Amino acid sequence: MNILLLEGRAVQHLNSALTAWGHTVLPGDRPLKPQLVAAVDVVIAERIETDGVDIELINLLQWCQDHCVYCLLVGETSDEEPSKPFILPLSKPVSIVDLKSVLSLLPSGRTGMCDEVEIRHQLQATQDVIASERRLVRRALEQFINIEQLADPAVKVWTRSTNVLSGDIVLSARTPANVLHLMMVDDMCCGALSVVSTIPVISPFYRMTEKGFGIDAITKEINSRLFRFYPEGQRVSAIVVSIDFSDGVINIWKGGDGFPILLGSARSDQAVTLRPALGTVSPEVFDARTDVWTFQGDVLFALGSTGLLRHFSAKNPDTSALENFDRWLQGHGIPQFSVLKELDLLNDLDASDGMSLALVSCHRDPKNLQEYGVLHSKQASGGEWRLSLVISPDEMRTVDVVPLLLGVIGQFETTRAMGGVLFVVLSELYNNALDHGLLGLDSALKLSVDGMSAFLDERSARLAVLQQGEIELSLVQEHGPDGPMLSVLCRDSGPGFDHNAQLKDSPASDAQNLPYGRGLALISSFASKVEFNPAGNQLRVQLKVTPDNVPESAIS
Amino acid sequence: MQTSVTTTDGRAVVRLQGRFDFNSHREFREAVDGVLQQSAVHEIVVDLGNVEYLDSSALGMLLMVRDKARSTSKEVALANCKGAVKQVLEIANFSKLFTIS
Repeated sequence: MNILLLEGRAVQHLNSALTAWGHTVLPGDRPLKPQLVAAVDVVIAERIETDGVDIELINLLQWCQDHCVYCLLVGETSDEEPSKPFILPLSKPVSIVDLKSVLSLLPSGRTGMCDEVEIRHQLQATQDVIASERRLVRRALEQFINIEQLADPAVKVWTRSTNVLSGDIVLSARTPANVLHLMMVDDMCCGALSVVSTIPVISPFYRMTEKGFGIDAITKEINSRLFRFYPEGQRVSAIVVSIDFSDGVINIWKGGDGFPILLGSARSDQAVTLRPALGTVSPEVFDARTDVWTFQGDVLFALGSTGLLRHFSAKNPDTSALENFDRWLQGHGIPQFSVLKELDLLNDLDASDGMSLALVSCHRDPKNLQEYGVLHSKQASGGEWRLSLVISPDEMRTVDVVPLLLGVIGQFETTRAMGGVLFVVLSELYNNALDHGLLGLDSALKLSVDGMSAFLDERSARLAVLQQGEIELSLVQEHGPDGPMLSVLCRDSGPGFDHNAQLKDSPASDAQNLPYGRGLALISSFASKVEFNPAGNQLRVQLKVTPDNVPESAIS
Repeated sequence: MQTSVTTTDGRAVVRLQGRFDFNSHREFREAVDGVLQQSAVHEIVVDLGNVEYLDSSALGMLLMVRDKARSTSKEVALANCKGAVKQVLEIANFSKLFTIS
């Protein structure tokens, strides 16, 4: 090797030894000159103990670092620590007695040294990226999880992680109808991957809750996303809960090992159906059905993670984990929910696993609803939605329009229970628009012996050759002074009809045996308002979105 | 819509399942025509217990069955009406036209 031997009392006598060991010794002075770079493999300098900062030494080491040159700092005594890194990665304090062996161990030539420098640089860069990534991930997770939503007055959440980023995530939000949605995701991946993997979970939860979708639709959507986008074997354990405070109903979808429990006097830890974790099964076979619990008065609902369950399982083997958990909570003032905000509940637990706990104060007292009045009114605007469909003859021949719309409307929590009513309204509106507005059919055809068949045959024949025309169906949910209203508009491109005369002569009122003429009467019976445009080719129906518009069986 | 028919002691039960609207006309007609042609049948019960929805076309079809049944001296009753189905039948005053249970 080409060794640059810098001046210094301790190294002066090394010249002959280095030459004897087969190295080429170059004398040098500080500061080092750039032209030496190409010729030098190793720099040997004297190590001088100093109380202050040795600027010269730092410059020397930096020069060596920059040019992939090893720097050995040689001391006079033999009690140095020859393997301990010193200041910069490529510099070592070396005792003179060890110098020969140290030189023999150095990478041969500058290429090897440069490789080592490069590796160290890459390692440092990677560590910097990891540190930066962790900061970013923590920030991103806080944003995704939406800490503000967790500030719901009825919900308290504790999480305790065992890593930089916990594998548990707790989400909560309210629908426009003031139903609380709570989701506990267990054992998500840690680190930067946790952010990526939570996107298909967190985004639909908040977006669909805000729009009023039920948890069945939400779990379906999340499962579908995970199934499509996640690699095989990468699944998400989760429990999703909806709590309707006004009806005292808790719906639970459980696709993980965590636990839901009602505490206090209403203690209930009845078994909940365990479904495959989200993303495990294809959307076609995914089972979004929920278990239903009910409550009266004041109760406390708890949702705990797998880690919490494991901890309480181990705490007292003679009793169940949930009993241990219940007792532990009672020791912290349960069911006095208000006390809990002062406690850091999970800190006194000794566990090697990440743990999360969400407690929900459930009051079925109607007065309690006023407590959430501000929240409700704030989120109510988010529950306004509009759905519009315009179809042309090709689609009229192939698409089953009413079930299509019902499938979408059924995703919304507020209108899902109105399926029966909406089926009638949409069917009547659409069929009238098509049969009479575009196809020009006369219902009197139904009066013959096989009138219905004749009518439908004629309908099929005319629809098969229909070239022009369109039907628009629009649904708008808005919040009026008396609560949410659903406005259904049906417009066809036909010439319209004299609706006043038609209604006046409607056979429904005086000839109940006729096989037609009941459509408008049915619509009117459900609607708050029915309104034709002057041309008679557009009808707007307004429906109250309330349990009043839900058949009895749907309510029960 | 799916249909099934069972006949016992002059009583035919036509069970419907699914969505009962104009699209179901052919299936419904095939089910009831077979029963109407059986002289031994005196009563036809249309079981609506598994019907999710029905519209005014379905009401028309029920009336058609009733008219045809009368011409062959048969009675028609509607059974297991509930929820949205019951609501529509009530609005249409079908309790005056059929025996409903």
